[in-house]
Parts: sequence; C-alpha cells; structure tokens
Amino acid sequence: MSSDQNFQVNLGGVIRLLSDHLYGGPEVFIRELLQNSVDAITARRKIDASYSGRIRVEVITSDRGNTVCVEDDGIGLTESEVHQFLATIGESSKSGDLSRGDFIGQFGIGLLSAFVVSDEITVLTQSARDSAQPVQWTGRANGTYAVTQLSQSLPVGTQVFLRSRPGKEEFFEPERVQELLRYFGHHLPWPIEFHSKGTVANITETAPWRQAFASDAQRRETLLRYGRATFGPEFLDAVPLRSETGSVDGVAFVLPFTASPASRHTHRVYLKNMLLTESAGSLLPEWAFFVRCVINADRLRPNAARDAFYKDDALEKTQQEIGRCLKDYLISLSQFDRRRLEQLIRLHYLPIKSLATEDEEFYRLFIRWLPFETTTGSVTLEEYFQSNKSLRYVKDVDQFRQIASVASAQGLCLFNGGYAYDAELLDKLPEEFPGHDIRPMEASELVQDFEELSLEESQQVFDLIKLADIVLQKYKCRVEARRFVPAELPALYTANNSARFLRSVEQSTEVADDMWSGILNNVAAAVGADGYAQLVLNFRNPLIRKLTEIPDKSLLKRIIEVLYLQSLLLGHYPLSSEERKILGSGLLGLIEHFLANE
Amino acid sequence: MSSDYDSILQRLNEVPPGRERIAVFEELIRMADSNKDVPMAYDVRRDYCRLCCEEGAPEKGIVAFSWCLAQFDKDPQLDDEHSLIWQYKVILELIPIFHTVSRDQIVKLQEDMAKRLEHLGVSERTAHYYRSWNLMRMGDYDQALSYQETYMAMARDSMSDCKACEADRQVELLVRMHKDEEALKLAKPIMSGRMRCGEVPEFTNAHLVKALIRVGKEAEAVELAKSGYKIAHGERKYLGTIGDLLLVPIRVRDFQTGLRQITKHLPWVVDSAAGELKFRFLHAASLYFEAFAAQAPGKTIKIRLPESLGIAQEGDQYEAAALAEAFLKQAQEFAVLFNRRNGNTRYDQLIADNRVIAGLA
Repeated sequence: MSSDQNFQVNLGGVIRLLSDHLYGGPEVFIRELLQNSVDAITARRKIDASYSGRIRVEVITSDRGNTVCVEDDGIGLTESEVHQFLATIGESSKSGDLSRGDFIGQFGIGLLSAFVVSDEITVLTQSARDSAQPVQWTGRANGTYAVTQLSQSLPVGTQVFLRSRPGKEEFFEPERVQELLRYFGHHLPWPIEFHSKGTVANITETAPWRQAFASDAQRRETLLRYGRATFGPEFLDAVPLRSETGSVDGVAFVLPFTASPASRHTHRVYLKNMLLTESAGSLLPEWAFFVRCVINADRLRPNAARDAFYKDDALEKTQQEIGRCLKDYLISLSQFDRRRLEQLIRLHYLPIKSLATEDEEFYRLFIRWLPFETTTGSVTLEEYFQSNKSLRYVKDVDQFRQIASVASAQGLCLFNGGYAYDAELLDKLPEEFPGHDIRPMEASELVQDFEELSLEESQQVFDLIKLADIVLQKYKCRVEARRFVPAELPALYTANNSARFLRSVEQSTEVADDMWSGILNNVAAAVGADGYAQLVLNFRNPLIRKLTEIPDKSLLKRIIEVLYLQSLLLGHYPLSSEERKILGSGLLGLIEHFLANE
Repeated sequence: MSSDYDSILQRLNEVPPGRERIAVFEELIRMADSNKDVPMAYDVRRDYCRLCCEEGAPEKGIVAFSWCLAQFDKDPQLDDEHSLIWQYKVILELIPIFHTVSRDQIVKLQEDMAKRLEHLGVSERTAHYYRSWNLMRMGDYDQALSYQETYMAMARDSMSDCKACEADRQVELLVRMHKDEEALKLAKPIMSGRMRCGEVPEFTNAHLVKALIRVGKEAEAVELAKSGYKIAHGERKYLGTIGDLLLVPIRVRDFQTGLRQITKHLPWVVDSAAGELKFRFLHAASLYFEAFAAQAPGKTIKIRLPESLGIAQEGDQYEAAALAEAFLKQAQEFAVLFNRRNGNTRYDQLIADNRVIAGLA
C-alpha cells in the first residue's frame, strides 16, 4: 500500500541554490526588485494608458542596520494575489491573463532573491483595483509569512522593505545601492529617484543610441565616448543597430585591434531596458567577431540564468538582422568613407572575408578591396589588376612556402590561397573578373615556366639526371634540370597535396601493423594521383654544373641524396628514419671522400 | 625548440577552423617529427585527426589515427585508452565511405576495435553498434537490423554514442529499407528539436526528406531541405548530406537553388577522397541537369565547373543533357566500385531511390 506525501522544502537551502546557480550574485536583488516595479507599472498602464509611472528607492540608515525601500506606483496586489503570488514558490503574477511578453520578470520568483541579502521582507501594497484594501505581507527566510489587512489607506502601488542580514551589509550601503540601481536600471523608461541622507539623485537616462543629435559627427562622438566608458578601448567606429524581429536596438563598436574568430567577444545586453548581462555571446552572426555591442531587446526570451537568450527562431532572425545592419554599414563605408573602410579592412579583413564567402552581393562589392598574401607582399585585387591581366594562386600554405622564394626571385607575383577563406574567395574570381586569366596552380607547375636547357646542356646533364632519377625513385621523387633564379639555390623540391599526403601515409605505414598498412594504402589509392614529388636541379648553380663532370658514380649518388635531403629540410619536411640514416651516411661518406683526396 | 612550438600554437588559436587550421597542424606535426618528439607528435596528431574528421578530410584523419594507434600500442602511457578508442569509433565510422577499402578490411578493423573495447572492460554493445553501421553502409540491411536490435536490447555504457546519434543511425537504416512511417515516428524527437547533438539533426535531415517525400509530405520535405541545408552548408563533412537534400529542390524544380548549391559544393567534390560522399553529390547533380534538360529540352546552362572534374569547357556554357550524362557517368563509376566492394547491388537501388525522390522516376 502506498500514500502520497509532500516533499519538505527547505526555503533557506532553495534560496542558497538560487543565489549560487540561478542568480548571478547577491546584488541581483536590486535588479529583481526594479523588475517587479517596472512590471507593476506596465500592468497599471494596461488598465490606464494615461498613467505614467515612477519608482522611488531609499536607503534608511540606522545603527541596527540599513534598510532599503523600493516603492512604485504600479498596479499593486490584492490580498488574494498576495497569498497566491508571494506565498507560493514558483507562482508568478505575470503568468496570467496579461500578455507575458510585456513583463521582464516573474514577481514572486524575483522577490525570492531578496532573501539572499535579507532575513525578512515586508511588502506593503495597495491594488489599483476598486475596493481593494491595502495589505501587509511579511516573509521570513525560514519559510514563514504573515499577511495583515491594513486599516489606514495607502497610495496605489507597492513598497518593499528589506533590512540587511548579517554579512550582507555592503549591499545596503547607499553608494552601493545607487551604483547597482544605475548598473541595472540606467536605461529604464520610468524615472527612478534615489533618496539617501537627505539627497535625491535621478538614476535613469535615455540610452545614447536613442538620443537625438544635431549631426552625425556628434552622434558618433557621443557613442564612441559611451563605448569607451562601457568597454574600455577607443573603438574605431560605432554602428547603430536595429532589428524588428527581436525588437532590438543598440550600437556595435568596431574593435580597434584585430580579433581572432576564437576570441568571442561578449556584449552588454538589456532586456526591456533592464541590464540582463554583460557577457552575452551568440547574439551576432558568426562572422561578426570584429565588434562588441550594447543592445536592448524587447522580444527575445532570456534563459533561466538570465545571461543569454534562448536559441529560437526569433534569435536567429535577430542575428540576421543585426548582421544586415553591419553589412549595410560596411557597404555605406565603401560608398562614402573609403579611408575608414581601408582602416577597418586592415584590421578586420578576416571577418569581412568570412562574410564574403557567405554572401554573393557582399563578395561582389568587397572582393577588390580585400588583401591577399602574395610573393611580392600583401596586395588587394584592385591594386593587382591595375597592371596584371592574369593571376595564379596556390591553394595551400605549404605549397606557397615551397616556391615563394623562387617565385619572388623571378619577379612572379603568386597568390597564397592557403589562409582562411582565401582559396574559396579566389576560386570565385573568374566570374567577377571576366577577361582575366585566373586559375589555381600546383607548386610543381611553376617549374614548367623555368627556362629550358639548350640541347647541348641537356646532353651535358643527361647522365646526372638519369642517375638522380634512379637514386630518388625509392623516395617517389622525379628529377629534372632547368635554369632558374636564385642561382645560389642548387635544387628545388616541390610536392603537391597528394605527394605530401603520400609522405604522411608512408610515415604511418612505417609504424603500422599489416592490417592498418593495407587500409592506409587503400585510402591513399582513393586520393589518387601518383604522389610523385619533384626535384629540379638548377643549371645556373655552379655546383650543379660541376656535378656533370664527376665520373665517380658512387660519389655522385651520395651527393644527389644529400642534395635531395637538404631540399627537404629547406621545405621543413621531416625525414623518415631511412632518410635520416642516409643523410648521416651520405655526409660521412662525403667527408671521407674529401679527406682521402686531401 | 619549445619557442618554435609556441609560435605555431599561437597561430592555431588565431585561425578559424578550416583548411588553414589543418595546414598549421601539419606544420606542427612536421616540427614534432623532425624533433623526434613522440609525445608531442602524438598529441598534435590526435587533435589533428579530430580536426580533419570534423573538417571533411577523413583520409588525413585516418592516416594520423593509425600512427597514433601504433604508437599507443608501443607505449600505452601516451594516451588515455578510453579517449583513444573513442576516436577509433569515429575512424571506424568513416572507413566504409572509402570505395577503395575492402569489405574484409572493414570487418577486420571493426573486430580489432571490438577486441580493444573488450580489453577496456565495456560490453559488446558498441561493437554490435558498429557491426550494424558497417553492414548498413555495405548494403546488408537485414543483418544490420539484426545487430541493431541486439545492441538496442543491451544497456548503454560509457562507450555508447549519444542518444541522438543512435537515433540518427536507426532512422537512416529504416529509410534505406523504405520503412518511412516508422522512421518518421522514431525521428519525432529529432524533428521537434528535443533530441540533438553536434551532428544531429544535420545528418538526419538527409534521410528524413526522403521519407517525407515518399509518404507524400512534400511541403514538409521542402521546408526541411531548406533548414537542413542552412545548418549543413558550411561544413565539408556534410557533402553527402547536402547532395541528398539537393534532391528536394530538384523535385520541385527549384533550379535557382539547385544551381547555387551545385556551384558552391562541386569544388568540395574535387577535394574529397571519400567515394560515398562524392557519389551522393555527383548523382544529385546529374539528376539536377536531367531535370533541367527535361524542363527545357535543348537549353544550355551557364555554370562554373572545377577544371579538375574533367568536364569544364571554355566559355562555361553547357548542354544540360550533356552535363547530366557526364555527372551520371562519374556517379555510376563510384556505384560500380561500391557494389563490387560490398558484394551486392545496393548502389543501384540508391540510384533508383534518388530518381524517385527527385521526381524523375
């Protein structure tokens, strides 16, 4: 037989849990109390549109501990509402008939946060509904509460009194309370008066991005000042943001330094003008990692911890709309302020390139201004096409490195497509620049442009090349001779993607068992290509020319191997264990030969 | 030497995921190998392997993994066995998509992992899960189903894939077997967003659009293909998925969307070494041009084709019917290779299924 029993809930424990996990810290009690006041005003305006609300906060100092009183002239609560909402954890006055979207918080739930700093909360409230009597509710952290009907009349609204609990006195110091009010409620739409020790201060101020300015320059200056005060740096620019979907407005600040996509910057976010968090991520499209934002959202849904928004359709649309604002900003710079655009591109070409890979229209507008690394330094396509009709690029950094020095010695401007987004952007160029000869190339193709040897020279080098081909066959490397600059370079090793991949397969098969070796070879077969690398001997180099005169084949063999291995090392290729052995024995052999001939 | 590592490691933090990141890792591997620094070479290869699998370069991941596994067998101190075997799972999952890896090799590999799982002290559930997966990829659906039932009857453990991944596999098998209603029912939590993970619903959407079309829910399939493409279009590992989703715009003769997607992803086909992914995209592309040609017989189409595909012509103008034929030929070459490897004709069925989905049956 079984019977249903109620759980025993320890309110103090629940509050500690809330404090540690749900709320950001003890100071959020100010935010929660402000939220209740704002929501009460919103509710009253629903029944009386002409009414305009106000919030009054006072710190009453005393030797027995300070008291904070938060007072509003909102809708107030009737006695039954007090029982329902203030005495039942999890109930909220804002889940009923009034549209949830109009409110920031959840009254009863928010009030709980006050127990984090206070052992006793007193609420005096007069409902705006006819004939309701004022009520006093006193709740204690031990889970008990009392409700009393008051005989004297009260103005419509609610007053909440808290006295600091031992250890939490700092949150009741007038300066701290005022600071917290500003922090959370600075941009709230209702006036907040702060009273303490006979002085009165106004807390609220219109958000700077909503203020009217005499000129664009003045607005920019004010927003940049605000950005500096909020985040610290002297930002490069300030971009107004607006999204209809999440009813979002705000301002994006362009970072004055290059940001990496990995270092996600956080944003300051207000929800219905109340500060929600200073560490919101995932508000912007992925590519927009060059800005930090301050925004207010009226219609996005915060998560339970209130430090981010739910990932729903509205958030996704909002991200797109914010992305659109930033894109429009960049486009307008391209039309009206090229100098600033150039400055921005210098720092933030990476996010701009990222956007250009996703957005055709943006690609067409911006591609000519984006910088690419080439063998003659960083250039934009606009600069490059002023004096060139053809463009060659390699698709990975390794190949670029292999041939960069040779290409630049020959005055060839070769583009490096190996950096993030570059190959994808360069691949699309032929469509954008019809009439230009643009194509990717493999490092080994460069060799095809090297100067051919004369018939006589070919005959001279014939035996050397034949021997070198035989010697390097086991390394899957072919040999040929050409003339190229720089003349000091005796040989150039190039390996395309599949050759490099094959090298890595060989490294793995060296250590793998039979089963894995078989699999690796079959996977390599799927990659295709013969995987041969290429060693080009430079006939301009005196050493190479001398080699053609050496009759001693075993000596020549050693020299060829050492030349090959030296070229590998120049290209930062690790040597296999066999290659290491050969490098050692080859060098020793050469030394022996040299000493014997001395 | 550590300062050399430091500067490359610093660069790793700066580059976004993608091909450049892979290149930076390769530089680190070369440096560690040159220094004969096995622990460093191991750690870097392990991370590189994960990155390559994520970035749609599984062939590189497989090569790096085999190196790590061989080193680990020599010196078990190099890694935590559990995390190594977890990566083994990922590799085993990728092996069958290579047309060049034989059936015998796949089975041997799967049993090698089964032994290692046993050594690790976990149940045979995960081994059965991969037996089912491999059999499905090799077209033995009934046997795959039988292993699926076996593993589903066993308790999950620390080596089990997440629930979303498991559901995705089950849905794929059902869709391959044309048990569409059953698949859609099973996929409900995935479709509602309640069940998800890093790769689900991305992979699952490709199966679901087929099921939706076959049960007559074309409008839902169109929406799912749209949202599915949106979340998968940026990652090369979803090349096959993107090919499957493309069948839907072809079906509703949305030629603009189809052309945009084909132009964007054909370069990935060229770069990819995984026959299954290439097949799925190439076949969808052939059906696109077939549908285009059928709609406007004799009409030409302008499209940028990667040169290394071997189809590109000067002027970029093509007869749609000729393109359909050229792409079909390439897709069929893979189908023949997979049928031969698998010892059955499932790829012929996949081709026939795709035609139905694309509205060309």
